[in-house]
Formats: sequence, structure tokens, C-alpha cells
Amino acid sequence: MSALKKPRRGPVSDFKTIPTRSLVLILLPTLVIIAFFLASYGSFIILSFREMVPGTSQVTGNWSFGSYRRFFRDTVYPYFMFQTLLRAAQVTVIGLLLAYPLAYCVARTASKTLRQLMMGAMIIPLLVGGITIVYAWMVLLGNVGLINTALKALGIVKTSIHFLYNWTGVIICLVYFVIPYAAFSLIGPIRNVPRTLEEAAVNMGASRLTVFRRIVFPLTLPGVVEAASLTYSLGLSAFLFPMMLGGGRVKMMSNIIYETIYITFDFPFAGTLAAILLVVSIFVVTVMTRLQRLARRVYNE
Amino acid sequence: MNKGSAPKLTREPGALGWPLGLMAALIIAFLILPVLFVIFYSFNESAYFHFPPTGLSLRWYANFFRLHYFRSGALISLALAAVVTPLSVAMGVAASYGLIRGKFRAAAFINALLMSPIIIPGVVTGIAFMTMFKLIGFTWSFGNLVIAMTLICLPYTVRTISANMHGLNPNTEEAAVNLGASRWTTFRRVVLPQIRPGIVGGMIFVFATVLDDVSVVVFLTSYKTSTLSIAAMGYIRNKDDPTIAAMATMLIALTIVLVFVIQRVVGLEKFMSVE
Repeated sequence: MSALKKPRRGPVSDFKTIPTRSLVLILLPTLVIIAFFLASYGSFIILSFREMVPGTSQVTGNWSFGSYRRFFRDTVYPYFMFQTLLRAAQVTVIGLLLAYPLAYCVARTASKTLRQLMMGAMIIPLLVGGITIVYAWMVLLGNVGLINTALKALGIVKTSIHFLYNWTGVIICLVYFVIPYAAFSLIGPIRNVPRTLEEAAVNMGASRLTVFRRIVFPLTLPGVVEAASLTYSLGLSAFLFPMMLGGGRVKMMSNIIYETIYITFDFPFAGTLAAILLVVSIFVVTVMTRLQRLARRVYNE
Repeated sequence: MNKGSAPKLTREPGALGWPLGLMAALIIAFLILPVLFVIFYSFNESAYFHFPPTGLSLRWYANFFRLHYFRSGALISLALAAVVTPLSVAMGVAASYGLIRGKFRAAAFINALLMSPIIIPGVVTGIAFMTMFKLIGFTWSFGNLVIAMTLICLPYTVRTISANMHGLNPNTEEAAVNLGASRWTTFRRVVLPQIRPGIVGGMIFVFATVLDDVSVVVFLTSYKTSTLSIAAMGYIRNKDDPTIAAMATMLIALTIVLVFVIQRVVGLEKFMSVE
């Protein structure tokens, strides 16, 4: 083997650490991409403190808080922000309520084949992409779509329910989108609940609901908070689903930002909206991380 | 634990009650309904949904391949995936190796920065890159897409590869070098085989993300460099026929292949880091 050289004598470099020079080389590409990352965020935040030269597509060179003042003066923008936070919360609550029983079933199913089938059904929506999901729901939820056809055939409704171009459709689609993420992050924590604990409680006569309320749920609380954090982030970033299923009538923050760029061409204001959304997202994640720590502490006690 | 000798119970503890099983089955049905529906709808003969369908046809598949912007969109998306996937895997391997083995103070901070695109809304990242590329006058659209998508995808590869890297025993590498292997051979023959599941898992995440992304890409594409997802979005807004269902069905077929690959190489539970 040509790769083999004469065995080395003397001290060999310690493999638990890397010499500084190699470390710099190894991390160089990462540092380059981080530089791009910081430069791009820096440039849009600077842009948010500029103004448009009236009547042109030029951006002025001086600093201004005009866009930020406009955000808080026009009540419509704080309202959209509030809507986005509210809808993301709705999606998180409904998503978790549906993901939890699914995750519990996957975690507690003894048959490997059945478990794999369930996980396969969860991974496909996760990898198949937003276009497929949004298109499927657009056709399914239409006034003459499968859902309305079925509801009418079963005699549940007489006239079609309007799912599209309002929050109903957007929420259904977002919930659909977040369930696999939430369920997958819940399976691990549920599996970690010692089964013997549940068995002991049942043997002593506790009902299934009591076992869940007093044992399983408290022990999985850190996992639930983590899943909620992930789901809420996904909800806040929603763009494609509200754009297509909301049909321009209901909008979330990302849609407003897109319109500010491609319809009104006000780049500094779009930058301001994006900067505010960024700050809100980071704030939410920080709060959630704190909550997670709190839940862990409660768990340990 | 329960070996026959255990006392008989009126109901098996821990077993799923039927209401819970039914609920899980309904949620699985909810998850799989749109997928099955799209496949079914792609063979619909007429341009509108009608139940029962008037006939079966492959015309929407033919339509997809006939339209120029789908063809060029698919080509651009595949080219982008072909560049971004190896790039973010290579950078993911280097970054996780450096961040885990190089014990320096900024490691946690760099790691947090690398992970941040996951929690930042895609539209924000899209605007950030659009602004910067305009500012520095870098107008090559495909290049813009490569840089932005690599940044978006890096968290996935770093996460999956780091998970494997943490389990690595540095003594095995030391042993290989002591026996005369070069650093590179050690990496190739000792480290790489052990982090392969992470690499495959990361690659699949990257591939799916590149094919699918809309919220970042929409700010960086021109009419000429529309990716498949942007072309599809435009088509849905202008036309109402099952051409997108045909495209989606092909994507579903691809996804099912990927799920099988995951199951064989990584394992579904490891891939979703359930274990």
C-alpha cells in the first residue's frame, strides 16, 4: 500500500485537538460564508436606515429613521405583524395538538414495520416541497374541490365552504406543513419516558388520562416547548402558503415584505420590515429557549 | 422484563388505547391525502377537478416537458443542486471537524451563527442577499443562488455530520497515524466511513431544500434564471390545470426514492434524529 509510510517515531500530534494552522485552513470556507452572511445582513440593515429619493428608484445616501417611523405611524403594519404572530400561535397550538398523539403512537408502537411506515408517511410531506403541498391544498380546498364535493355528497353542507383566499385554508396548509416537524421532535422525548412508570401508575389504578396528565405530559414538557419553538419559527417565516392560499386577501409579514419590493419598489421600507421581522423572530426564539430551560429545571425537580 | 411470569392484567399497560390509535391513523391519513390526491389528479383528463374523473390521460406530463420555462427551470434547479450539495457537504464536514476538534472559545459562537439561517425567515435572508449582491455589483444570478443556497443549507449538513462526528473516537485516528497512515489517508479511511450516514442525510436535506426553496430564491432570480419552484409558482398563478400535479407527482416519486435511500443508508429514526 503506497499510502503507508514508515512508522513515525517520537510524539505524534494529539488528535483530540488540531494545530492552529490546520484549524484556520479547515474553517476557512466556513469563515468565508459567515463573512457573506454578516455582510448581507449588515447591508440590508443599513438599507433600512435609508430613504428613497422621491419619484426615482434611487436610494439616498444619508441616514434616516423615516421607514421605522412609518412602520409605527401606519397602524396597518403593526396590525400585520400582530396577525402574523397570532396566526403562527394558532398553527403552533393546532399543530402540537395533532402531532402529540401521532408522536406518542410512533414512540410506543412495538412493530418495527408499522413504525417505519408511519415515519415514512411523515417524512414524505417534509421532503416533497412547498409547491406540491400548496398546489394539492389549492385543488383539494377549492369550491368544487374534493373536500367540498365530499362534504356535499355526505350531506354535511349544502353550499360549498370557502376555504381559499381566507385564513382557513392558510391555517390548514400551515398545520399540515408543521405536523411532521413537531411530531419528529416529540418522538424522542416521549420515548424517554420510562415505560415502567406508566405501567406502575396503571397497575395502581390510574386511568389512562391521569397517567398522561400526571406522568407523560410533565416529563415530555421540555420536548413540547422545543417542538413549539420550531413550529412557531416555521409559522413566522411562512411565505409561500399565505401567498398562494391567501390569494392576496390575507397576508403575513413575509408577503408584505415581498409586495413592498415588487409592487411599491420601496427598498428601504422593505428593509425596515425585514429588520423588524428579524428582531421579532430572534426575540421569540430567545424567549422559547428560556422557556425550554425553565421546563428542563421543572423536569429535573 | 415481562417474561410470562408477570401477573395478568385486565389491560396491557402502556399499550395504545384504540381512541389514540384511531386518532393517529386519521392524522396519518391527513398527511398522506394531498400526496395521493396529487398523483391521482395528475392523470386527470380534463383541466378541472371533477369527481368521478371523465378520463385518464398523460397529457399534463407532456405539457410539462413541452413548456420551455419548466424545462429550463428544472435544468437550473438540478444544476444548482449539483453544485450546492457537494459544496455544503464538504463545508459541513470541514466545519464540524474544525468546530468539534478545535477547542477554541469562538467555536460555540461560530456554530450558532452557522445555525441561524434555520430560524431566520427565508424572506429576510433573501432580501439580505439581494441587497448585498446589488451593493457589490455581483450580478451573476446563478452565482448569487449558489452562495445564498449554500448558506441556507449549511445548517443541515453541519447538524447531521456533527451528530456522527461527536461519536468519533480520536484514538482510532491516532492509531492509524501511528501505524504510518498519512493524515489524509486517516481521514479518508477512518473518519469518512464513520460519518457517512451524516453525509448522506445532509445531502438529502440539501437536495430537497434546493429543489423546493421559494422564499430566498424569489429575490435572486431573474426571468432567465427561474428555478423550477419559481416557474411552478408563476404557472399556478396564471393557469389552472393539472400540469403542476404532473410535476408534483414526479417530485413525489423522487421523494419516495430518497426515503428508501435514507432507510437503507441512515435509518429513518437517525435521519430525523429521533434516536
